[in-house]
Amino acid sequence: MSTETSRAPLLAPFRISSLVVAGFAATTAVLSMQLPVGTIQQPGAGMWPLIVSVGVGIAALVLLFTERDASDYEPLTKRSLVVIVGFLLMAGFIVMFANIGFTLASLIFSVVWLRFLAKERWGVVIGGAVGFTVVFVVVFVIVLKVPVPHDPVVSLITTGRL
Amino acid sequence: MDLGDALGGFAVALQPLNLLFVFLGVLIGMVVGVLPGLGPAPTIALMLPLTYVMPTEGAIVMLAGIYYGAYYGGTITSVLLRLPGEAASVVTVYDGHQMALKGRAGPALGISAIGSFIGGTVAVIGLFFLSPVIADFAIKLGPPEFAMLALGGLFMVSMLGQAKPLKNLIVAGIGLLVATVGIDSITGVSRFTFGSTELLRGIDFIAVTMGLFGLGDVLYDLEHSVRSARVSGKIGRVLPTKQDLRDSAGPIARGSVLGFFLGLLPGGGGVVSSLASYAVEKRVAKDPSQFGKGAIQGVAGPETANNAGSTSSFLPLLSLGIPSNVVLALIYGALLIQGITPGPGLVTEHPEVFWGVLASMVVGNAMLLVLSLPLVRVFVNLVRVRIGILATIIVLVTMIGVYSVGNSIADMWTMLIFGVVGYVMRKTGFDPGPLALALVLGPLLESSVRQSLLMSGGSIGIFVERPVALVFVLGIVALIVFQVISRRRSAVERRFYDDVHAQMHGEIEPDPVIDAPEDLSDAVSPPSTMTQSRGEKEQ
Repeated sequence: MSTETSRAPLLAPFRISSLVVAGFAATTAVLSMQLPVGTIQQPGAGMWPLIVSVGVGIAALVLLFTERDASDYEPLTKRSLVVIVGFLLMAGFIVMFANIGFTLASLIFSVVWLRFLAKERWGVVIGGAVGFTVVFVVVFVIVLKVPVPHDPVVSLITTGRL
Repeated sequence: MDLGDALGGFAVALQPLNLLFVFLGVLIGMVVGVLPGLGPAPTIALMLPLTYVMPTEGAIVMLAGIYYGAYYGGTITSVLLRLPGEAASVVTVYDGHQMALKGRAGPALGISAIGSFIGGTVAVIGLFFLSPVIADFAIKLGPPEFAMLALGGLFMVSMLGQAKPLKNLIVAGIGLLVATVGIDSITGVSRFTFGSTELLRGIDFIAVTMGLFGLGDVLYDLEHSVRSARVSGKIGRVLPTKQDLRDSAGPIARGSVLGFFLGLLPGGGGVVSSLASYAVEKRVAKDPSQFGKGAIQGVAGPETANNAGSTSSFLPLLSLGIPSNVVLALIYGALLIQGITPGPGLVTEHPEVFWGVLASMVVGNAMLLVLSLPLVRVFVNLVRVRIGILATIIVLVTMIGVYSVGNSIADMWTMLIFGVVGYVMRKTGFDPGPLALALVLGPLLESSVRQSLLMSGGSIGIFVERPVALVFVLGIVALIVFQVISRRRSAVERRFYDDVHAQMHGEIEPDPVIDAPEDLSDAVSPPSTMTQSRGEKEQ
């Protein structure tokens, strides 16, 4: 992290974040105005979000023009792609959880994550995936009785039917 | 308020089940304080769903245990590994690690545990005398005062937080906007729901915090290779010598008092207290040149102060309903789950919770003292746990945890979205902490502002015409002015932080000696990146 003294140009890529925030604030301000704003004597449901949106928007613009350099920002690199993979795995877990139950979702997720993202040995992968899944199924599904979506594995073990 | 209530707190804390919860909290806290990639905020977020099935006092004493236990875990890594796991342990690096290099890691950790115990106990005694005053005062506050108090809390956290104040304010503003999603409690109008029935009940606090702090950290850590840690120096005998105790007596006494008062301020807590204590100790020392070279005073004072501060910071949370940092915001969330709204009525309506939590902190600190001394060697090995394995556990726990709160798949998606938001915020130098705090304070702030305007017929003068509200407004103004002046930190200090940060990310090898900043009196906040690799966002 360098603490440069020279000022970065106004069109420097890192300023995108300030613009995104300003855009977000403008959007929420417009949406707030579509709600009953009321008057200052009788504030409506839209008054408060409108005030906050305007405040956030102004702050974002001040940041846009006053931030001197990119020292706060971490550049995106090739390694950043692994974050997308991580996100997709998490999203995949939710989809599997809803459709094939917690046990299988947990097993598949753990194997893929431990092997391909954490780069663990197969022994650790299998041990970890089975171990974590058993512990979480016992704690959450069996002991705490969290009403998870239909789980064929738990169903098979507890009732003998899928 | 009488002595009976306070003693009743000990009766609550000493119940076998609660003792078990305190023990679990302290143990989990120490573990996560040491583990890479976890801190108290994500851990408490992970534990929130579990508190549904726990008794109120048990849930809160366990979460409180995680809070101060994690500080001590952070101390272990500061001393032995030169990795300040928590922001509150940053100053412990200066002298604690130097002591470790001289083979005196044991006494550094020992005096930290002793100081923490004394600091926490002094703070509880202080709260015994102060809480009736604050509770009486709080009952007299109206909407304008609460509006300014909540606003002041957000400003304090933004100004003293880990990222740039302007960025913190933006994040807090976004948190206030997120808090408005759902049905407006005053007019019944649905806001920003886009026709979704799921959004009518608002965006779930637990889903947001678990996303920001749990999944956000996992995604962020995926991108960063975490250097394997090396233990520096021998731990040696853990018990401090008589000379150590003599040298530490003054710093512990001063740290207790200083930490207690700084913890009461919104935005206060462990970090500010420990930094201020270090500055004070260096100033009053007979030989300040020893600071940064292994002076035990530089460990004893800040470690005492951060525990006293984290204990006393429970008072604004429990008696005013104003959490002064993100960890307390999460505990606020836990109290709401239990059907208890922290605020002026809590001390009188639920004395068992108020005093039970405080008494549990004395008990918990005693446990820390007993646990930490013999188990330091065990804990320090935890730092070798690989982050990829931890990440798998965190994802599974957060997913099933957030689902269990509302039995809602939608909450899982909300959490994932906020996980991405948390990752992007870290990449762009925004601290997610103020968002969680604003989400908690948002409904109180909005309703107070709107009620104030209704009371005054639309005059914003109501916020400065009432004496107490005026004091809060002046406090906010003074804070902004102070911050603008003191933001110009010395180049020496900035270099120091950059150096520590670079080492935490494995960018450079540690030097045998890093110079502590000359003057920490204006260094009320470490840089935004200081604790990012740990995911800890507590103030």
